[in-house]
Amino acid sequence: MVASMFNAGVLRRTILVLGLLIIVVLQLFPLVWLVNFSLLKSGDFFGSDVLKWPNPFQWVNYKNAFTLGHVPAYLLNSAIVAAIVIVVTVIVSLMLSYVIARIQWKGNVVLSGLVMVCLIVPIYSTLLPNFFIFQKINLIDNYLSLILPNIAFLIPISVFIFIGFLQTTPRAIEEAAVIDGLSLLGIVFRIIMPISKPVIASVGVLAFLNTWNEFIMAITYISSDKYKTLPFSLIQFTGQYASNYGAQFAVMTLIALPSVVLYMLFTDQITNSLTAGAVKG
Amino acid sequence: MKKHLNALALIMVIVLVVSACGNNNGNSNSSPSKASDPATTATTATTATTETPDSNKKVEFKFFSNNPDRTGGQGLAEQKLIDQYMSENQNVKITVETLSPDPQFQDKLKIYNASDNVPDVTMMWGQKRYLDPLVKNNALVTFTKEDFAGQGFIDAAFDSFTLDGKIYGIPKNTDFLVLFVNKKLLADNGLEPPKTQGDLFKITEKLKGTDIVPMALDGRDSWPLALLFDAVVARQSGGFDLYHKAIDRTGSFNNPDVVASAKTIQEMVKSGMFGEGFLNLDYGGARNLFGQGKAAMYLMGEWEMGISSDANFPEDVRNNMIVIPWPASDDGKGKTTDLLAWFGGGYSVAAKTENSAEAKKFAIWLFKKENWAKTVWQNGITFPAQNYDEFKTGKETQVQNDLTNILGSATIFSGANSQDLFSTSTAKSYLDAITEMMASKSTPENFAEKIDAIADKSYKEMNP
Repeated sequence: MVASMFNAGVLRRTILVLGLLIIVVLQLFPLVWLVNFSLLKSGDFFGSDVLKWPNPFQWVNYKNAFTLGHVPAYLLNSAIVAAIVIVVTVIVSLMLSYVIARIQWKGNVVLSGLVMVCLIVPIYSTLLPNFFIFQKINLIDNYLSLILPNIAFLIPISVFIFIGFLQTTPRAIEEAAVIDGLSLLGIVFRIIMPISKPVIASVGVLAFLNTWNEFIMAITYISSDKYKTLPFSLIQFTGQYASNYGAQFAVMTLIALPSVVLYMLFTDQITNSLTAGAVKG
Repeated sequence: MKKHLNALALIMVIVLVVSACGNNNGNSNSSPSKASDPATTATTATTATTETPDSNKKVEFKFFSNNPDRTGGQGLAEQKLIDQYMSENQNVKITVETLSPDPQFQDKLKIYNASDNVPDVTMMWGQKRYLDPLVKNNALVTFTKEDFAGQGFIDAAFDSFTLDGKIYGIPKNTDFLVLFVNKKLLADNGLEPPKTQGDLFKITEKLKGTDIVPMALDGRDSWPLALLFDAVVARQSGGFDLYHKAIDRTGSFNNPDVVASAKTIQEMVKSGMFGEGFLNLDYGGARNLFGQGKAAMYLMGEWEMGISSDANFPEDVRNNMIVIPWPASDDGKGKTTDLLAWFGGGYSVAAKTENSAEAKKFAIWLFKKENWAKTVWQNGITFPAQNYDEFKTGKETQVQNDLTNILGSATIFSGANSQDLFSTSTAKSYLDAITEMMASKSTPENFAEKIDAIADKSYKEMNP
């Protein structure tokens, strides 16, 4: 009796471990595959092997990525754009969501409605109008032509997340601060900002991932090498027909690396960001 | 409160959608009005060309290419010549913008056209559906055949860039459909390269049970399937008139030869000629299958001639590659000298830019035979639309020589392939219909009726 119970426990545990193991393998496989194929010759692709030991290792793919793919220059551009987008998005959406969540005034309903509406605007419908506008005001082919629309698309979702958080935090601290004579901006930046650090981290990560992977706006608004972002490295190796797959995989590995590292560092925040807005809408 | 919020959000959505539609209409209304004002744009174009450019004036213009890789292929040829031109003309600076793949390139070109911002020199496709919007917007300069006199152009090459008797682009390649063959793989199985379509079935039969795919075919992109269809129809009907006439509506696809061709193709699929799941095999997949020695033949255009010198593939495969034309019909009606050849790609020059005249000068220089034709041939990049005999080095690969022979011995050229002749919106349904037929989802008879209806729709769209 005891033995069978013990067995049942072991069995349950084994099944659980096995199940989790399968999930781990499924999750990790694309990454392993990506790294593996980034070290192969283009001619080895589409073969019958799922994974193939590189013989010899094609480090030249990485060399090509760095030199011909302009990875360092484009990486810098991506970093500049991402950094500005994150900072501006966080500050602006925090202020905006404070207004919507805490201050009672006439335009509140309209304002929150507007933000909600912006959530559903598809990027594609804005490409042509934005191109015309940027063209007119000389912002085309410029960091700003990437930064501004990226921020615009991130604000609604960030505000949504911030409001969800603010509605769950008690007002007592702010009331105390007002009594002690703190100004409105003071409340936002000296009280709300510190207590919403975890949410700010989630919004930051969300903004980073979105900006980092953004491509359709970049190919529409950017034409000179000077402002191209990382995804352009990838198409650098696209031929008209066949492509240099090895180098493309090397670039993809390099692009994925910051995201993977970031994900490892901020796992909790990213998971929170997915649920933060869901508590109260 | 929440209810109000929801209602408001809904109203906002509706307002937004409605106003967005309104804006769209406004835009589409405004662009034809812009186009219907040719007088002003035409005069600016002529003043630009009649202006005598000062040779010491700093000139800067943009070259828009669909080849991001500037170290190989056509990107290399472009870059070499651009660099040469800049060193010969110190006052000229040419900046290159690249974008790939082609659909993205074409989208961006549309945006440039809509905003009157077409780059000075741009990659262009010689089909009405690509040229028309730019020509209507007076965005392109015209060339005359005299501009290229003595440069050895194949006369028919300009046809696809000609609209209403005016030339809007310079053709850069001659493209034609061929069969790459791994002769050792065939010989090992006691087989010879096919001479007739019947031989193809024999090869397939013999290779059954081995791991070898008889013919690698990129079925994921539907355009190679349409080329196969063109080739089979040409052999069945003994020429290329059938689809030309069907598309310009002096004939019809609803024709016994089309039905018979579709039947032949379906038999090819059933016999396993293209291997299992070829409809999921993409361009690189099919190419690698052949390059790795896992397929005996490979159906593709001449532009893959570099495959026999691609160091990514094993040497014993590369050394045994030959090229043959698509096999003749069994009854001898369709000959191998009927060649499915077209002149798809080229360059156009923008009319509305500041340095339009200088850019035109560069484009004409680019196509002097010792520039483009020599560069692309001697670097084994592609077949120019010009005569390249005088640039032969004697070091050409077997594949290059085979291709030269096929082109040289061809007596009838198709001039265009069928899919290029359709309008933008119908080209996709045409390709889908062919894919469906090859997946045996439609009978040959249904297929013929279907593509005939598509051809009719296309004709009406292109000739309103």
